[in-house]
Amino acid sequence: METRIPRLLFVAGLAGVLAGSRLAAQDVVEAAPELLTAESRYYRIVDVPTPKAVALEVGGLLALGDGSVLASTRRGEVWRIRDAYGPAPQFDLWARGLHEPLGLLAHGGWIYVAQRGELTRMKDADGDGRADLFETVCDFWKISGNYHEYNFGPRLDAEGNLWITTNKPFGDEPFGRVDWRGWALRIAPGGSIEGVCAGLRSPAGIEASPAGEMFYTDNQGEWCGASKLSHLEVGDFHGHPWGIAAAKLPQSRVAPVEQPPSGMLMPDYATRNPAFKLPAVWFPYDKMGKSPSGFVWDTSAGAFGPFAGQVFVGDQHHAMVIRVSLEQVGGRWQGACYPFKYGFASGIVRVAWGEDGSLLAGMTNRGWGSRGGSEQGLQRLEWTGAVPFEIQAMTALPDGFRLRFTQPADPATAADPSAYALQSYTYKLHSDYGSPESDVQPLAVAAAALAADGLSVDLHVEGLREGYVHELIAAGVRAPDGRALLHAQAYYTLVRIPPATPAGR
Amino acid sequence: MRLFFVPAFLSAAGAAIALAAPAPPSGAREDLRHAGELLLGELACTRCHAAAPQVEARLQPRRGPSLDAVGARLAPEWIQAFLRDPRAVRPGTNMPHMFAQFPPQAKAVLTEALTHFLVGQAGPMAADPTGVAPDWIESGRKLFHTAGCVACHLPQAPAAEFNPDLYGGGGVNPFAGGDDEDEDEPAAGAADPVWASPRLEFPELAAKWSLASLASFLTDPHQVRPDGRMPDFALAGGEARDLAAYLLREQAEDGPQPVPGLAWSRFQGDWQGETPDFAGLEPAGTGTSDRFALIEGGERFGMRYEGLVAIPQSGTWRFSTTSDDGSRLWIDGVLVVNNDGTHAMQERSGEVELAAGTHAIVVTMFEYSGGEGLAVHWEGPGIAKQEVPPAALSRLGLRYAAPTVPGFAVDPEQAAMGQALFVKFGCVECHAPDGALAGLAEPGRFPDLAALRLDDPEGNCLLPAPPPGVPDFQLQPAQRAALRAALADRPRLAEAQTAAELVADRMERLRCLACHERGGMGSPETERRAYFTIQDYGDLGDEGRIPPRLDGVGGKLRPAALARVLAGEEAVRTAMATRMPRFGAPRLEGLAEAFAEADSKPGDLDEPEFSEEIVAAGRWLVGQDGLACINCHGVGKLRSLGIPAVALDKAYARLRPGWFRQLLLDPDALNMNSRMPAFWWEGARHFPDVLDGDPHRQADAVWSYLSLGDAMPPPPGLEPDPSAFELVPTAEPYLFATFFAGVSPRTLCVGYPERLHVAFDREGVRLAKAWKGDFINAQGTWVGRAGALEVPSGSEVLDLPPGIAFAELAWRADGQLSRWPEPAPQRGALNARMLGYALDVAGVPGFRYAIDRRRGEQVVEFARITETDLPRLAAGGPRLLRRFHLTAAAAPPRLWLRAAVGETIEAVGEHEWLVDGRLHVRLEDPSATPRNVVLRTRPDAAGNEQQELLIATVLRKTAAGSVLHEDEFALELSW
Repeated sequence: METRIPRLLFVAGLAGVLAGSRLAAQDVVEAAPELLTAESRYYRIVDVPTPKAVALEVGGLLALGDGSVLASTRRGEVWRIRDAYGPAPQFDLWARGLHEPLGLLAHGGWIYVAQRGELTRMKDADGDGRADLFETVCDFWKISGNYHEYNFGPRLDAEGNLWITTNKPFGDEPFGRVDWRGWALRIAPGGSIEGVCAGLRSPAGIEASPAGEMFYTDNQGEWCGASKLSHLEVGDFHGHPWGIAAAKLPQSRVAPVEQPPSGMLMPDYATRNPAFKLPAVWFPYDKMGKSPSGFVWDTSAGAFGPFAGQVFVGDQHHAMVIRVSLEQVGGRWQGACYPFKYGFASGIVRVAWGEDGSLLAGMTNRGWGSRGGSEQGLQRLEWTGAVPFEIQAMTALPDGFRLRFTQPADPATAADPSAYALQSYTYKLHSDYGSPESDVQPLAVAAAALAADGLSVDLHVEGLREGYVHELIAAGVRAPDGRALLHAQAYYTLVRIPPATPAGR
Repeated sequence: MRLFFVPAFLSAAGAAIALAAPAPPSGAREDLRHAGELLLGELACTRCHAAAPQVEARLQPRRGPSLDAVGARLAPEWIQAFLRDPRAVRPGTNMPHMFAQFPPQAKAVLTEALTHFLVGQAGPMAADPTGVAPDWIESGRKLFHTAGCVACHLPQAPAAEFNPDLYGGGGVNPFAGGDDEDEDEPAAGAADPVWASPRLEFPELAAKWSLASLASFLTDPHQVRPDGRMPDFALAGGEARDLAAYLLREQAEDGPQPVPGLAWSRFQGDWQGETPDFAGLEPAGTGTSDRFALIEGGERFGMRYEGLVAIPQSGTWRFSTTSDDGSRLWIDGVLVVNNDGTHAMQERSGEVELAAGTHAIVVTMFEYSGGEGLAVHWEGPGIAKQEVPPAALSRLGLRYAAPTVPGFAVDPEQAAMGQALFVKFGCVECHAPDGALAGLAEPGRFPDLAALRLDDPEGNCLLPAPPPGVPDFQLQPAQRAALRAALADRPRLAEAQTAAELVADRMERLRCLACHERGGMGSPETERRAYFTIQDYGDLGDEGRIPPRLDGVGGKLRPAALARVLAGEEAVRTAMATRMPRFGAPRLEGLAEAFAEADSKPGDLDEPEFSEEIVAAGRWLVGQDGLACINCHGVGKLRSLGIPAVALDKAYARLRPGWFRQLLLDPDALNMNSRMPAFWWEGARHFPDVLDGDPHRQADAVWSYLSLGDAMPPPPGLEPDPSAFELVPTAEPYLFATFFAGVSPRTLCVGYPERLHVAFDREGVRLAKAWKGDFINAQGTWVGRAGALEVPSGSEVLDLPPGIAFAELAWRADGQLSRWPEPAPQRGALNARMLGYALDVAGVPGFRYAIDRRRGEQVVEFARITETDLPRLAAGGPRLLRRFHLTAAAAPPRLWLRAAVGETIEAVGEHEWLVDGRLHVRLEDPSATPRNVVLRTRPDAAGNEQQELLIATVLRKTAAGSVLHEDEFALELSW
């Protein structure tokens, strides 16, 4: 009799997709073809042709700046893809023998890679096209031998520290339970390590903002009612109690946390435990992907379209890229997410900027299934130069929200409050897998004031609630030529309501 | 080429034809005597007419079938009919007619009594409840016509069905031009006297056997027929059952009908996460079961059950499976229960509306690792939840009517009389010479062979019609003449056979010649050749399908290899459909040695020089830019680029070096009838840059490379299947990081082309394991969510000493060295710290780690070590070389290496030790400085006495005035 816990009862994964495991994968509902066609007028998916013998199950992506791309795979290989942006890329094996390398970073002449058991740096010292030096940067944490013990990163913060996030195990721990799973760990340049944030679940993406602040994505599951993008600050507790025992260890920068009670609404728990960090953005389940992973800031200053400064997030289940706009209110990051581009070939685990300005999407759905017909691969997303009619950003006002459009809106529709549907809800912090949208409240748009240039509208909304998602469907808004918004949905996570003074924004 | 001569002659029917020629020419007198000698052995004359041991040894008198349990095996009516007139029932049998001259009334009484006695041996035969699946019959039919049965037995279907390729190309079809009627008239083949050797037909098998008894016989024929004439084909996985189902197909009653039990198939495979689609997979075994139950436990297997379930009442039915790991259940093709996934015992159920009556049911399950189990429950109108009972389960099958006699009971009086007859008539001499009944026989009732009078008119087996009580072998005149000729020279019968005679004798009597040619005799005759087929890919011509010629085989194969082939323990011609069967050790005694004596040449076992450089040259020569042997020959699991000729890794263990050298340098002299090309002819020199272009040295280099056998690094040009999960290092070391069973979750495995591999534990900072053969299968790490604990694919796994390799030890006041620091109960290295690894130009990793010393809270590094673990090729297989390079900023107190731990460690030379009688450890120390070595006994963690071998490091200044110290040495491990 094997005593391990049935794996399929746990419904999480590399990016912790959804309940029901692989069977659910058979129920995948693909995005509507007409939407895919419409999206592709503005953003076009381009295949990176891959030899059949290469199992390009991408875990890490890095554009090297010389026309080539490094891709680490879940099989422990690193491929150097030369002429990656051309029609006939060349694949050379750069390294092999890594353990689920799920992130790459170029730093100080080395390539850093997060493996299961250690943070490693490697280089091709003799210049023969193959890595030959592999140094253990840090192996402070242990692993128990569970498949779900993935590590993500590393990423550099503003002070030059390296950050990684660690997945918690599911099921068998054949070599015994270990600490520091479900944490964000920070490694100082001198090598000393600290556990800086606890309560992570399946933190499949970690990234530094252009200002050097750290963010991560987490996957819906137990103690994580909905997938999210969260700001990582020293001392945070993000809600999952699995690894909190380590908070008592000397390397922890998180104050000891008590086991949270199961079943409270998240904003209520946040009131009770100030260390509990509400996310900057929740990704409502299935409405906005199911399994967020890697993400990048758009630093292209407009070369990738009208979303400069925003964030693009890969989703492993929906094989899509989600768009996020962030703002800081009352010292807290918050913002909205929007559908951006559906129709990739497989579940996206990593995104990275290519030097040609396209967005690289590294994919693998092995073990979880996803939309798209492939199990793995690499694609690029190119801006065609055409500007879609979109909600460019949804931002918070003391008494409602402001929408900016990418193109002027038709005043007859955009100034009509009935063009907008709004509701708010939050999630429970509990041990069940995922949370229903809880305490749902429909909201009325009392007034819609369109700016003279037609590029923004202020919606006056009564009953804003902190700690709630405010879901907006702007189905009635049209461009002057009658076009609907390419994507009418926006989901704003209101952590703080902006103060009424100083007046306006 | 002559077709085989003597076997036909041995059969009574064939004899007339074989010897119906005009009077033998000169020299034929010896042929006649020789034929008589074979008859003496085959008819087992010396079983009754006792002979000296030398005569017995020469004649090898054949043993009759064992009649233990004959009653359970054969039908009573068949037994009696056979006793009444053996040849009428089974033409060509060697069984003499015992009652030929008795009046019919007496014959009836005698055979009746004997039948009761024989049926009383564990009988009567049981009726056969087994239902036969139609595909068993088809599988048996294919097996019968391709495995080699038809080398001796009459085919029952046209060869074209089994060898369609050949019939585009002008093969001769014995049934050619005919229609299906031919199949019903196998006697049509009898026009050819040799090929239709009648004793090899199967008249009325259906009247003789039950499905179970024939299958049992076919599984282990030597148990019943110790003479080896019906060889053992090592039938497995339902093959015997399939063959029996085919051969007894006349017993089938009309049409498939529900028969009790479910059909199951068992599959082997590494599945995790979900049940595979068993549909395209070859089962490892099949059978029937009266319930959904695992036939046997184990790891990494799957089961599929198929049959009918009888639903007693229409309504909603709830089915459930309880399984470890996953299972699924379908009714009428609809998935009702999905209990898939890798998990412990868990129950899942589903409901389905079903009408009363039978419905198709399929259940699949798989087991990855750990415990396993399966139970299927139902619950429906009028039935509380319970396991689906056997009475509700059936499958479609053919009922076979076994030739039982309803109401037959053994009459004890008749049986007692039969037993007395069995002794009196001498049956016991052939059938039970070692049993209790043999002791009842009156000694001396048959004259000894030496005392036989050939002209005795009273009771002489050689008379055309022997009197009642004397066995009638129904000999042809020519056979009687031959026997007389042999008996006329009885001193000759006491002489030992020469090697050549022994080989010829065995090849004739065991019917080796039915398949093999030697000395211009034998090999399948034209009509039967078509049944010899190739089952693998590629065209190998006749070499791929006809068993090899045996001319000179004793000079080709090593004695041990020949013995393995004869014992059926080695099959290198994997592409060939025909199997080399097993004849049983007693019949093969001395045969391998006789082949060797007859064929071998002096010095042909001498080995050429071995060195790593010579091996490298040989490896290159075998590869694509050299002789390109890989065009036809694979290595291990790596297939050739073309046809499936014998794999090269098998060559060394099989072939004599002298023969191989001749094969490469002068293949014509071997007259191999092979398509193997000649590489050097008339002094031609190829590859002048390799070993001075010397063909002899190049041929020897190829041999030295082949001598690595299972450890041959793949030659250039052979590549593994990229879609396979079995990792095969070819040109360079293969690094693979994984969770490793019994080591740690941070194990880095290094696979070497030299087929020696290591697992380095980066958590414990130690070399943990080394093994040989195949490297590793990555499926558990690369499929699904993965995360399996991997294990070596290969064999001869060596566990290195536990704990860290280097530690500081001190000399205590009592002159003893301090204890080796054992790892703490918590995981991780004691005071070693992993630094990483660097690959050299060949891709070999050198593992780097630091040895730390703790001063309070402070950790101070005081030595760095690079350990490189790699194979070294040597005659007899690769060895593990552990190279250590140490540096330290200052010379610290002695660091010691724990080189070995074992129950016994003995010094077997200077700097050489033998651990537990298995592992050789040799210290290679390039420095001239003496190095301390301590071999001591100490208790292990469990308190058992163990020995450990400790080797001191000697850290010396790298240069005068330098602060850097270093040391370098190596251990060579062979096992």
